[in-house]
Amino acid sequence: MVKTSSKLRWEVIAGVLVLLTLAMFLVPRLDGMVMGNDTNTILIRASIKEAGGFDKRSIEVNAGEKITFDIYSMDMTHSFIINDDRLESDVDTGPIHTGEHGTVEVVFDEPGEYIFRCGVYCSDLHGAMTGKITVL
Amino acid sequence: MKGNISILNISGAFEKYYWSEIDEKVISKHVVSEPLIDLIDHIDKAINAGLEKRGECAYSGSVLLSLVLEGTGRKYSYNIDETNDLYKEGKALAGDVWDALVDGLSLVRIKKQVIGSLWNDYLRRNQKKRSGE
Amino acid sequence: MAKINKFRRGNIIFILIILMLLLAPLGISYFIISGQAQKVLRAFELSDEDGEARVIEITASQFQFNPNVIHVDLGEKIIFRVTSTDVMHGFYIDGKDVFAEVPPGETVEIGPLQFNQPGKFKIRCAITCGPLHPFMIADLIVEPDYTLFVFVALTVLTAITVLLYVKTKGREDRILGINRKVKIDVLKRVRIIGPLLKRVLQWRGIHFVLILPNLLFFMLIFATGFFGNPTGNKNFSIAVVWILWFALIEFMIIFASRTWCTMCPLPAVGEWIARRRFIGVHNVRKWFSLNKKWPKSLDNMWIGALSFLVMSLMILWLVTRPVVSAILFLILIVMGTVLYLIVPARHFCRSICPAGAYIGYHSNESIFEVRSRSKAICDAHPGKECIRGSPKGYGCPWKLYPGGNQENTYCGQCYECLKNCPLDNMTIKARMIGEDLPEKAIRTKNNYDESWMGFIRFSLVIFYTLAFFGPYWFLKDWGNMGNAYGANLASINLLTPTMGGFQKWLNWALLVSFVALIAFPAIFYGFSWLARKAAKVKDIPTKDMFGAYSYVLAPFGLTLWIGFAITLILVNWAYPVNAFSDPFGWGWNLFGFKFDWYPIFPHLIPFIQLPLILLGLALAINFTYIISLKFFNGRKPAFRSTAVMTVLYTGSALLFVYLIG
Repeated sequence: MVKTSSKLRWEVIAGVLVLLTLAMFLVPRLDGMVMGNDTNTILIRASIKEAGGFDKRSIEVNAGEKITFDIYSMDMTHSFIINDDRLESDVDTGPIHTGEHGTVEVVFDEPGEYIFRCGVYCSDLHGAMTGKITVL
Repeated sequence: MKGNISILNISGAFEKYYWSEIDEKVISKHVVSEPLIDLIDHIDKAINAGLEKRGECAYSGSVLLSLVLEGTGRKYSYNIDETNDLYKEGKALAGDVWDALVDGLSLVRIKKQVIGSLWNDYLRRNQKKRSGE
Repeated sequence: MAKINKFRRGNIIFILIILMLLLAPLGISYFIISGQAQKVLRAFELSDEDGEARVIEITASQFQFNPNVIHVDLGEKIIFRVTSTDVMHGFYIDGKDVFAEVPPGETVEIGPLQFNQPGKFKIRCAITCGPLHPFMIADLIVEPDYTLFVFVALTVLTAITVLLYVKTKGREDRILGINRKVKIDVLKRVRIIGPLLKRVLQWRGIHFVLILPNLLFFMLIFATGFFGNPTGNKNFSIAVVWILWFALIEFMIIFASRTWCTMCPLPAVGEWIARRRFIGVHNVRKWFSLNKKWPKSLDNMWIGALSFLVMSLMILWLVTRPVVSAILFLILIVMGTVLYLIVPARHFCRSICPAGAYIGYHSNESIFEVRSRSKAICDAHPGKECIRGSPKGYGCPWKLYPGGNQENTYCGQCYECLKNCPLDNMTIKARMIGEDLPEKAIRTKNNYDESWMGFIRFSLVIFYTLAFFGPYWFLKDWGNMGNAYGANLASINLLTPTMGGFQKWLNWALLVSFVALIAFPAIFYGFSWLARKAAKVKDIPTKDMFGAYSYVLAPFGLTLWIGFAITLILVNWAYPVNAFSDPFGWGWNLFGFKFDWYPIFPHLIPFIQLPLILLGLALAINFTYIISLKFFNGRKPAFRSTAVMTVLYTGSALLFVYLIG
């Protein structure tokens, strides 16, 4: 037999390794694991409205619980504000630059709907960059 | 003659570069012709795979060369005559074997013929050497 | 043997002398310019003295400062009043701890600042304000601009010095005093590393082992490019490819030639399928492929050169929009695979791939080569395993005759010939930069593909420098089609070009193509014609001289590109580093680090770039002289034509110096 360096076992291992590189497409699924799954912390990623605005636009929380909003700016300086008379004071993270996190803690005592919005001008559709929190 | 495979030149090259390089004191019939048998197997495979003759026979020269290097436990040859002789004879023999196989001779028969004549040559040449001493 | 050792010692001394010659005046002039040596790392000071301060109004908008070129006087006290007309911007001045946030619609006062160092500094946006944020730059020129003056003087001085050198001491086998014919057989002569390298490279698995991690990265690039953060500098696919990879390639060319092609995963998939093997050599040498022949008319660098140009026409989108990059790589990997299944050889890499084309074009400047030890042995051996293959390896997938190969251009360094050769005649050699360039320049007649690759690369390093680090917004806006949005697959509709945007891009495309394909070659041809007149020769056609001389743009261009790469890394290093920790730009922190963006001694960058420009200029002049010697067989005509070409090279160098200094 012509002894080539071809050994089937290694070919199979190599093939499996090549297929495993496709697993990179599964990495986005690790998001929950990487960012943590704390039920009282709500991660919201903010992009300009043209690219989708806040990635969570409808949030349900329970009244009386302390909720931490973790805002991550994707593409511009954004912020997270809630101006509502039912709250003791206005909620404002202040400007959150691209690639940074900003957090704010809120306790909603009264059930109802609250509107949150971006407080830093970020694009033409900045005014439409809003979301809704339903307090149960 | 149809299907006749001349191993005269090959055995000359083997005498020079293969048999003399093998370490073992006693060489078996199998070892004497091992590279050639592998080469014939290779050609049989190539024909079955539908490869074209010219390129494959040229490649067979390299196959024989690497088989001889392997058989004598070497990685390289530093003798250009050796590489060229083995390559040339391998190529020529591959052509003969190819024709024989295409003409319908069976693989077993060709192998038998090659092993037989090569073994005879090996014995004859070593006999001569011994009587010369 | 002793003689060679003496040569080598001589070479090292020469290299050191040249380095000192290049660096010493720079260092001295830098200290003179800076006035006070203790302020070297501080370009200017915050001034607490009272007194009149000039107020400079600046508006910041996506993605420009207006005015974009600001002149101030040495020692003058300045207050910048910066207003943002749209989103949040930052205000950062090179070499100074000035960092200000400029909120939307507001005006921020910075200063008073006093400028103690003359020269050109960059004002940069420091808060990511959109896809083109990294290129939001204005020039701050502190006058009188001694730096530029000194840079120009040094450039002219270098040209004159090298001209004098070639006139008095110039020889065919010497580059800047270094014997270019001395080569070191790395696998045999270098202790420990040589034999180790040989074993590694002859191991059949090495190719696969090198490709696999890169394939992994490519999959990550696809995943991040399509689904990650739409802002380029926060996305792995942009930050790692267009900052880290792009910069590393330029260095890799010098030190390791086409080593990227060894580990490139783009054509590998096709190669694996066609071979029906990942690692080994199949018993039956039948390609899983249509086994077509590559047309001879395409077996050159034309398509590769033009695809690099086309890529460059899209560069402002490529380096800022993840989805555009991902699509480009998808096209390349599909093309590489499909072409391999039609023609089972690396013709994609040889003739189509834009990166393959420019890496190949510059690889003759490498200090690294894969060659035979003795071409005579290869020629005398009819087996030619390096071409045809053997049970140990495949025949050259790049369709070369490795044993007789004389240039790096099309050698993809797959090391199959090293595995194949039964005579142990293939090796890796270390050598002088551009060792084979003059011979190649003379040899290549009536083929202008590589000449135009040279013009394209040389023109584009200037356009890239302008577009990425220049203050001129209109150029960036043209190339960017007036689009303000980043994009991934979900938001790809934001990239729909408007009519006005397309017209802008047309300006950019026509300008770049005109300069790279017509204007610069025409000027070069004109100078070649003048050089021919000056040399007073009749028997050599201008087109041959034009073709041969164009090869000196390879070392010259490469040094400029290395300068560009250094800038890219020093300014933007934080983006690729962070991209490993947060590949998708989703706020992850996998490895526990996240660096703030800040450029590393950005105000010293011109002082790093200048020696490279001067080195490129010196190499260009010297190579021109060697090529001329080969043409004319006489020192006098060779010198005359070199002197004419030097004017062009110096002019080009001065243009680049003006951009950076």
